[in-house]
Amino acid sequence: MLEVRGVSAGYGTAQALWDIDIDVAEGEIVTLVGPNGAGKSTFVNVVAGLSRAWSGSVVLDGQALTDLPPAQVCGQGVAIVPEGRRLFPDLTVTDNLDIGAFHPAARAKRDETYERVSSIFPIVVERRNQRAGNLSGGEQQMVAIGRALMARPQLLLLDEPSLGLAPVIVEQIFDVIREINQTGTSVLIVEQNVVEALELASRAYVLENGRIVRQGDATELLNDESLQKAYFGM
Amino acid sequence: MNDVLNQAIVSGILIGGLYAVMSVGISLTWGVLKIINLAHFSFILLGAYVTYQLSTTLGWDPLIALVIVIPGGFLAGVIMQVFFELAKVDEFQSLIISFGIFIIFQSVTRTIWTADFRRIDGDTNPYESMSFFVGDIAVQVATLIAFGVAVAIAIGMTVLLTRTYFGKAVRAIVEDPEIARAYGIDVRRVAVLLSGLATAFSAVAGVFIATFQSLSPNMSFGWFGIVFPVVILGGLGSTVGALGAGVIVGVAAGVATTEWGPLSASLVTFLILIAALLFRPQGLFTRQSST
Ligand SMILES: Nc1ncnc2c1ncn2[C@@H]1O[C@H](COP(=O)(O)OP(=O)(O)O)[C@@H](O)[C@H]1O
Ligand SMILES: [Mg+2]
Repeated sequence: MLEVRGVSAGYGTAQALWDIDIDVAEGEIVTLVGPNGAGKSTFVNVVAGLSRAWSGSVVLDGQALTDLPPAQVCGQGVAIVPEGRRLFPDLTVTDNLDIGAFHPAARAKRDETYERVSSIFPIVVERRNQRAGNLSGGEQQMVAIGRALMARPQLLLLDEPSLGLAPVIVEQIFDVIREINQTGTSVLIVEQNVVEALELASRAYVLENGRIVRQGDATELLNDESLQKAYFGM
Repeated sequence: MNDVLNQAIVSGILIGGLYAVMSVGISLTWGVLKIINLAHFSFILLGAYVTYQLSTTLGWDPLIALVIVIPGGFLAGVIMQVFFELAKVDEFQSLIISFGIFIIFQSVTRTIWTADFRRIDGDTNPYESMSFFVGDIAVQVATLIAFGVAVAIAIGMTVLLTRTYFGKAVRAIVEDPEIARAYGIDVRRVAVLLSGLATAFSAVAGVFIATFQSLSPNMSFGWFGIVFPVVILGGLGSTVGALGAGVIVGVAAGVATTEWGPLSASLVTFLILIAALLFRPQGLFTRQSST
């Protein structure tokens, strides 16, 4: 469903991504792993329309997203859970979710989607009138994923959802991502938490210094010796 | 002696409503759009002169002028924001550019209406002399109506900002415009509409000024010393804050005038501005932003 071809991008004159090809098939969980500064967030932001690609193309179900403004990318079925969550801290939990349902197609089905999100994350109901900024990190991550789901995406982009969370919370979040995927949403998840991400995904890409250096079946990469040396210190 | 003071307090509260209406537009565009738009002073002034003109030439009740002034102000706000977007002005540039707009309108006003004082004739302006007494205290109807409008704006804006998609979009843009955009909010469109609304409020303030004051182009310079203390004390972007701060500034200026004479009023409002900037730069009525 998502086809990224030859994408280069950067900031000012500093290039951050070189010639990236990535595919996500319908119903798949794909992960993009790599160290800090590799260009993972830059890539996610290009797909979401928040950064412009210098060259190359991003296509979702035959529709070119490459030069669309982010609002329209969202309307085409891509929702982002940004790095560091970036909830609207002074807005209530419910208001944060409503922003997720902002684009017209999502707004029309807002109540129905809200039911679904609250069954996945009961805390969005329990904490509905609290300022999002007052929630714990794990709760914020749940609301951030809930906000993205309110947009009714076909493709969910997650930028380091495990960042700053305790291992048990990470496990919980990853279980939910699996569950969301099983109801038909494709997932592209960016992680530094390599082992967890490879266990979750079916396929993986390894990004280093802005270039894809490895790709393949997630279990294969998980058992790959050179990768184990580089990333898990084994 | 106590009566004089009580009168000053009541009048101050009521005039504080007008101060709030004068300030709310600048507060909204500054707080939400990061545009310090001094042209709002021009639209207060124009709102007042248009009201004067409609009453004088067509014999309209001054409040009927709202029918013209509200859409006119809205349109002006839309045009200004489209220009600010196209020119990609930042906060500081907006101050300089809008000061230019202010100066231009200042001379336009002086050209059309001259520097002479203008006042709506008592025959067409029932509000000027209308007042009633509560005990020994006189209540001027014109300022009472303006106060009612200020309360209505504060309540209406609170409902708009907390209950509607448009309002939630506005608040989301304040906190994180990039992510707001990523969820389908057309930030430009929201900004243009908000600027229209804000400028309409300013123009409405002009209508009320015309109901009980004599107009001259230079009166707008005096408004700086009222509006900026109200905007800062109330907290940028806070409509409820503008009302609270308007009342505080109105009472402080009124009491100062009775106790120490009219010249002390601007000194007191200026001191309020300094104190607010030093001790409470986020405003009295907004939470210290965490995270
Ligand atoms: N806003 C920015 N302005 C300039 N350079 C940036 C910006 N964001 C990221 N970079 C640079 O781009 C490169 C990739 O960063 P990023 O995509 O954030 O990596 P990752 O998400 O993998 O940690 C880094 O060298 C980083 O310093
Ligand atoms: Mg990153």
